[in-house]
Amino acid sequence: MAERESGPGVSLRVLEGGRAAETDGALLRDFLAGDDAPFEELWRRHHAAVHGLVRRYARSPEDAKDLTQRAFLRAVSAARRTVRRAGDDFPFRAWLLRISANLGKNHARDEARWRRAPVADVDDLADGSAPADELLLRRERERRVKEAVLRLPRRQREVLTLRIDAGLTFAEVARTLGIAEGNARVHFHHAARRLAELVRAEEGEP
Amino acid sequence: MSHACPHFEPLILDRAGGALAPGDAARLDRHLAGCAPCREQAEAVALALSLAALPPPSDRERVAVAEGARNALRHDGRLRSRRRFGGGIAIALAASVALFLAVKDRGPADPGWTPPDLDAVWAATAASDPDATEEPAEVLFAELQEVDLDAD
Ligand SMILES: [Zn+2]
Repeated sequence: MAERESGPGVSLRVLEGGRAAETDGALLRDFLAGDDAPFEELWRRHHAAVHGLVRRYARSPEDAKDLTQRAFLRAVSAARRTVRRAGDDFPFRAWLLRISANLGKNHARDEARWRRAPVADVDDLADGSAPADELLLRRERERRVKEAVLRLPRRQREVLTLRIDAGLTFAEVARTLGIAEGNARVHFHHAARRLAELVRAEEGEP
Repeated sequence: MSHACPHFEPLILDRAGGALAPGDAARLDRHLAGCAPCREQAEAVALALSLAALPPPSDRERVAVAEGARNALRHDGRLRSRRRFGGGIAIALAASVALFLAVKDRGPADPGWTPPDLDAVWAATAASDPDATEEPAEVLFAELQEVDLDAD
């Protein structure tokens, strides 16, 4: 059997030469030495988390796909010198996810694309009935809360999006950002509290 | 502002993050049953996070991205050539990291340049004001972006 599922989103594929057992650092080293196959293994391991992170900043699925590729290439390029020193222990996933979380932010800032995030599908349903109004209200609140996510202090935004967009546990978030797990949870608390305050303030509006 | 009880709000937020310790769950539920402000805050937090969440990607989107590795490599002619022969762009990237570190440490730039230690780079970032909106990391990434890997 060439492939088996070992959990949600995780598939262990036994590649020629046993690549599945190699560390990210070893794969990166071999890729930088000129072999393409290790890049595909790195992609297989990490593309879903990267995609989850950059989607928040993308205007379209195509845009998100493009950002995923850019994040990978940028991470590999920026890691070139460091991996030579750190060798097989190079924490490529942490490096990649940190870059992904901030590449997307830069993308959004540069393009201001998120401002144009469409209020989709409402026109089709808006016939004045209560459900459509509720949907419209919900969409408007979504837009405001998602904007507020982008305005969070950088560390809070990183922790929140690594948790809810990339689906990392707090232990993984902490490893990715090089902080203590308790610290990651506190950043999440601050972020969630801030968003909840926004929601409550809007509920208090006339 | 939330008027949730200071002792229970962390538990409310932990639960919202999926990280409530099993031992605390019953304690929190007992409290919520008798405390309206904490219930309101729990509802507001849950609503806020549901509004912040992205809809899951469609299967089609997932497949398209999963198949993107070869595409990324195809667009990677310059990276490929630098892989084999080394080159100026990697050095430029490295220099921007070194500059970043030099600014953080307020020390002189090292003309010989030492490869950056990942943790040092990010520790320096974390040491800055956590509430600043423009972090040094953004500067670093902005510099990385100046090297447009998709050019050509
Ligand atoms: Zn209470």
